[in-house]
Amino acid sequence: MTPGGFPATFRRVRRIRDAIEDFGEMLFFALDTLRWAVRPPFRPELILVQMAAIGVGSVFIVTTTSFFTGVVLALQANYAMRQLGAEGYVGGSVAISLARELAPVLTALFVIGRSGSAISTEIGTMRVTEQIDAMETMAVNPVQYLVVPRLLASLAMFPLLTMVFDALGYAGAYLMGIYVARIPEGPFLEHTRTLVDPKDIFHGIFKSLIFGAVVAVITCWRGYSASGGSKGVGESTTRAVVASSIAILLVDVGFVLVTVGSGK
Amino acid sequence: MAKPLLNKAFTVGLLAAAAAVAFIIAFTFFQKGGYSERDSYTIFAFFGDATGLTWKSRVQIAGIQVGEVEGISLQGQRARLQLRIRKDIDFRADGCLTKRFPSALLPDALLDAVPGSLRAPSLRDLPAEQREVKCVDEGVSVAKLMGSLEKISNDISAVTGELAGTMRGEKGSIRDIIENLARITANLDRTVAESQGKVRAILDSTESLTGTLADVTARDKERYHAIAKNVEEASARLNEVLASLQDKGELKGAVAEARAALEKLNASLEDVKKTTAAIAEGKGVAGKLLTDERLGNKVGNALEGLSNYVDRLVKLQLQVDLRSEWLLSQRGAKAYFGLRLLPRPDKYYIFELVNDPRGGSTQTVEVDSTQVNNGPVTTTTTTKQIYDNRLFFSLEFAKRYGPTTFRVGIIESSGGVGADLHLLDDSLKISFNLYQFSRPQTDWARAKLWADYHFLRYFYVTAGADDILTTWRSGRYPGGPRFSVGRDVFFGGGVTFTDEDLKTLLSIGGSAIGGATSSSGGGGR
Repeated sequence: MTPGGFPATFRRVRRIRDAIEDFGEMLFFALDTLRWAVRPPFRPELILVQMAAIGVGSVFIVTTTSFFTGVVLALQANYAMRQLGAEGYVGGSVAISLARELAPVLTALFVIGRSGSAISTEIGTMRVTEQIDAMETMAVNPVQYLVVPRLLASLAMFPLLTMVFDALGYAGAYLMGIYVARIPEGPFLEHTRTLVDPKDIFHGIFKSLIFGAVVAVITCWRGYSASGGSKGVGESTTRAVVASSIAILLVDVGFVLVTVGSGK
Repeated sequence: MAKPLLNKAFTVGLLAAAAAVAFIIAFTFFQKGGYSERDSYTIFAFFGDATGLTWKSRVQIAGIQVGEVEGISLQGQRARLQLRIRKDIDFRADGCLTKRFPSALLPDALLDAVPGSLRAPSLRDLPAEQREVKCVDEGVSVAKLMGSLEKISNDISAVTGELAGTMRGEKGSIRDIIENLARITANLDRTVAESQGKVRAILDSTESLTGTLADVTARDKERYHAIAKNVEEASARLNEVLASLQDKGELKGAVAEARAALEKLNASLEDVKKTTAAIAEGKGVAGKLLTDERLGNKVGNALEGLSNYVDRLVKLQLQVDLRSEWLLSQRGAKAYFGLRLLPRPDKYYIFELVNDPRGGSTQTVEVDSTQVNNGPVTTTTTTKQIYDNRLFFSLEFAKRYGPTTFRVGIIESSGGVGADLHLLDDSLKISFNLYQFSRPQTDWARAKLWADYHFLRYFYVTAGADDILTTWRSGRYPGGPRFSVGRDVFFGGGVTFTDEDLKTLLSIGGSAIGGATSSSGGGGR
């Protein structure tokens, strides 16, 4: 054994154990949040504020990226399908990609970048400046006051933003396909109608609902468990963004594995 | 102070409205109509090769889509295609399906349908398992076409090779053959010209001979007819004589066998006579059946009842539902085991066993009157709450009208009503239950609102709120166990499946119980 090998291994094992413990604590935190979500007072004004921050605050980035995502997808699909004389299928392929996968996943990733980091920083700052402790002293439950409104706002806003992403993404693909790539409008729209089912839209919206809950819980938990002053807040924000982005992709893979072949 | 133009509530509302408009437009645009379970029916067909066909491949008549492929599965060595056809298309049992590749480059195939003739039964009216389209044509795939083309081109290549060899061969070229043919035809032409006079003389002689022959036949026509008739009669007599000579030795045996057969026939007829006489007098089971009108009617009714019973049994579906809910405030799981008997798709009975962590509580009032030394009577009233963690049962009758189902019966061991709203092709179910109308802890009935979403064929997730009319509280009875009551949120999941084996067991068990009951009742009578 190399000098210091045993302590290094021990430290590694310790780190894994800590990560698992942190994950377990986060699950308890999520259950606690759900429990407090159904108890009065419900504080609709706080939920509205968070809806504005998470949803309306992310509209610009979501609309911009969705439009250009649709444009790029249509261009690439047209390039591939024109080789086969099947450019009429461009609209359908773009619409189904957006509805089932890209809209919920990309919306979640952009909202994490825009609002998830803000949530984590805000709650983390309150933690390190002992504002959360002060709340507990005043018999105000911090989970109910800080986390529940953010969770409910995320649950409401993620599906709305996903729907906006779907609409603008398809609009971008339509403009690019019809006016730039000169794809005949009839086949473009008809194949979209043939390939896409309302179930695909519902699938994406259901996914975004789950993503909203995942993002809210992870970002709030990272802020809630922050420590070590302003440096600690910065670190917890970074961890929140990374962890929630990876979680979104993992949950998405899980969805695909569960629903593949089931026709849902 | 005036409100700012873009306050938070306004922006959130605007975003929600924009998303809602996008959703409605998308839903309306993508809603194809005609392929929901209500507006369509399923048929199936077996293909030896389903290459190019996938889930949602088109089924069309005259180029117009009338259905789609709902599922493809392997059965033995063949592909079983489940198709969903619009209800207004009357597909007959002699209809045909042809697999076709609309594009030579793309691997996607579609099915061209011919709905069949009016003589054959309509598949729409048959039970689902009998709706098979037997006439299928698998068409030609591009790969097969290319293979055939390759074979043809090889053949053409061989023929042209042979032709080239013949043109250049040592045994004589095509040119030599043509020159020979030209020489032969020239010779033939010359010969005909030289023999023209002789040919004319032969033709004249032939004409004269046929004229003479016609005169002779016209004159002796009657005579020839008489001769032909005589010959016919003579040959008939000759046949008879030959037949009698041949059968002479077997005649005796044949007569003896015929006599024995006649005797047996007489005996049989005698038996038949006796039997019919006995039946006419009403003797024996057959006689009673034919002569006793009341008994005949009873047997007829019994057969009809049996036929109805078997018919209902075949249509009866039994669904098993296993479900668990985690109650967040209660911090406990509520488990359900349910059986759903469906005699018809729009009507069913639910039997359910429920293990509720809240348990049940009953209230008893005891009145105690005491009198000391002829003094005043003291009355003490004691109210006791008894809590027990028991198993509840539900027994409900449900009837469905369109997307809504109404239920009534016993819900968790108390009277109750419920309703279900079915959405998204029955994938999503929103339900409401109202039961336990008199509870000791609260004045409100227990109301439960929840949603089930089937994300796979057998599995579903559930979420909702229980006891929504009552505020959450928990406590402990004086000297007794803990109790919980009031609003609680739950989530969970379940599995539901149709069990044919259980259905058979239940029907046999039911018949046995019915038989035992009727026989014991009959004994007592």
